[in-house]
Amino acid sequence: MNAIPFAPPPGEAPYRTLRAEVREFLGEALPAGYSAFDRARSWNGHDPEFSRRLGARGWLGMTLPKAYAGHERSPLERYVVVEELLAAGAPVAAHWIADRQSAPLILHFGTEAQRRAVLPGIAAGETYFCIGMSEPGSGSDLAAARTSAQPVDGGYRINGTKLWTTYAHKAHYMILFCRTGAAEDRHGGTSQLLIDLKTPGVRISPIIDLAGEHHFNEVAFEDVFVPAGALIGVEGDGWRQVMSELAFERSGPDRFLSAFALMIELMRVLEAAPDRQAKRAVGRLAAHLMVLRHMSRSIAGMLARGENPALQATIVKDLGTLLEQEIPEIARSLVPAGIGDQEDEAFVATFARVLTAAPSFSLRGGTREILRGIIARGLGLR
Amino acid sequence: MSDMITDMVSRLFREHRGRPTEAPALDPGLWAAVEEMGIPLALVPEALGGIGLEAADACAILRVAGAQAIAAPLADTMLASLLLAQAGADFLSGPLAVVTAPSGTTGCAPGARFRAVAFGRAAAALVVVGDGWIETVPAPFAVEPGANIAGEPRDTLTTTAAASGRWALTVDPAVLRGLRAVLAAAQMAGAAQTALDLTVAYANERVQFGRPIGKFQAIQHHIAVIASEAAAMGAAADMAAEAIPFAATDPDGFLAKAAAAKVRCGEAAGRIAGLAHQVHGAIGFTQEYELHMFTRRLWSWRDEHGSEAGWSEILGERLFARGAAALWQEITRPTGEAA
Repeated sequence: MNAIPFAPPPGEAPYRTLRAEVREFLGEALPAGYSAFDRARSWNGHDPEFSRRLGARGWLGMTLPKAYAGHERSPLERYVVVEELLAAGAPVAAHWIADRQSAPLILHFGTEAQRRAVLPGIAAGETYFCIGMSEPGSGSDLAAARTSAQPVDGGYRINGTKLWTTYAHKAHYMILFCRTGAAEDRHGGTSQLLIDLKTPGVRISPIIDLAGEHHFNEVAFEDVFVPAGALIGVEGDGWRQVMSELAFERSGPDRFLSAFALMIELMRVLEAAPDRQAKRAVGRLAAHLMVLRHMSRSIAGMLARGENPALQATIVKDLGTLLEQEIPEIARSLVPAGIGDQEDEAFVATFARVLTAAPSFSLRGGTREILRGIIARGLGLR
Repeated sequence: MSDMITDMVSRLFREHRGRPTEAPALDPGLWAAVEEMGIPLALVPEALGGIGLEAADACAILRVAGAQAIAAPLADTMLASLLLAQAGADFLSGPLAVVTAPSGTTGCAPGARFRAVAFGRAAAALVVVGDGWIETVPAPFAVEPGANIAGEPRDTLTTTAAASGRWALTVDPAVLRGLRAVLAAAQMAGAAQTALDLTVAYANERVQFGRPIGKFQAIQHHIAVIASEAAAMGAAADMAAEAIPFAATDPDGFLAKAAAAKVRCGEAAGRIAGLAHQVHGAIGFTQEYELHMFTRRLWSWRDEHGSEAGWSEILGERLFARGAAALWQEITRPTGEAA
């Protein structure tokens, strides 16, 4: 049997109140005139004020212990908040990485001092993180990372370059995956360090994406000294830790809702007189979303029970990004006049934003090919 | 599903696993064991005389049946028993089939003809669903044999006897179609699982270019897609099975889940069948190898009880009726709660 089990997700009833609260909050917290075009940024919309308001409501760091200003709520409650934010296209980018993966990583592997230093700020929506994994010579092959953190008296001296670092220019910290020593196998000798991005010698340079936007950066380290207390977890144990960080990165509804704003826009332009083709297309997309959501809630249930859903998360990300990328193609096939002749400017702008973002959906957080390799390994094929 | 039932059903179905070189035919020994275990009543709530299983358990039984290519009208018999229980009628011993009378007919007279009846040749009785009524019609029937793409009997039956009972229909016909779709989805999820199992095993054992073909990345990626699609089918079938208890109180919500499940399973079925054959190469195309029992069933079942086209239109129509602004509320609405 090669079944990859998705246990029945917990019932929805206990989360009804929370869901209603989030919807009400979004109704008044999103700026007046927050448009489909704004929503189409999905989790790339950056708004520290919004993040602070979420933090004040207790909806960041939800699963963290109260000792670190968290709220000790379940992964399923966090799931409800996260999916409501994503479905509304709320501007969550400022806190997104910190809340999704940095906080749980530091809680699990970090020192007491690190937890006290960063977790309360994350829960408040004031402390932002970026990811320090990819490098010029290390994309899908994360173990090829060359950035070195040489142990020196009292700490580490870092040299190297990280790449495709989303919102590094607006983040306070990076969790740096780097080499701290020699090892026989390529996964060994790696560690994770907590880097304050204000440290001298850290240079952040923008990389403009194909849509003309600045999300990406290059982050160069030139003889950057960090104290020994920057080490997260165990020196040499970086590979195992970074894999657990990736499991958090891949497990959420952010992997199938990136194009949801366009689906709503598509329905809006068609709803005056939907023909059979439109009904079938929308019904099919909704069927996919309902099933993905069922799978994603199952994963949240596994997290709540302390299980490891890494393989399930990989499947949901692969299936979810396929759907996200299909939505603009379906949208252009359904509008009567064709995109080029469409007079509905809001629709065309939303379409363009999602279409031009779509290639990244199956690259960020692990390419489709890497994911399928992981699934194959889970089936015992490699 | 309780472990005891799972074990018993799994053992029974393993013993009666379909054989690739034989046309699917109902084995009376299997049917006796099915009745002995109470499987025909699996969908019936305990309060109506059922055996204390949840609707999700009934679907789990059908999934195991799909995984073993069981040749028996389990879904039809379960559904027929449910209809009888809801009408307040006595249970009939099976096999049974549920058929729909032409619109406008007021009862089922001898000579009524029904197409594509699952295992019709073996049916002990038909449960005929009309406009506001149901009737039971006992065998014998005049049988014109037919089969689906998988070779499962789908016979045309002409009744010879008068109806043996008549009751008011308490089920919305749309809900009945939804129930059929959900039961089909459960069987499809099972068949997909076995197609995956066979493909993984074959890729590990078949050697070309000096290594098992499962070591090649192109093959690994095909199989990863099969596994993902099979997982989605399982989740879709589960999601719809969980909605069955709300079919009467929240028909809209139930039908949304039923539609989504049949659409998703139907779409995955074609993808899985195609890739499983691609990985297997020529051996998978032979009658003696088992794969076709599962791929042909997937091809058959995706077009029985509503295809992707039909169900996606029903779901899409419902969503457009609620409007673009309500899409997310519709997607997240728990079955059984008011819209």
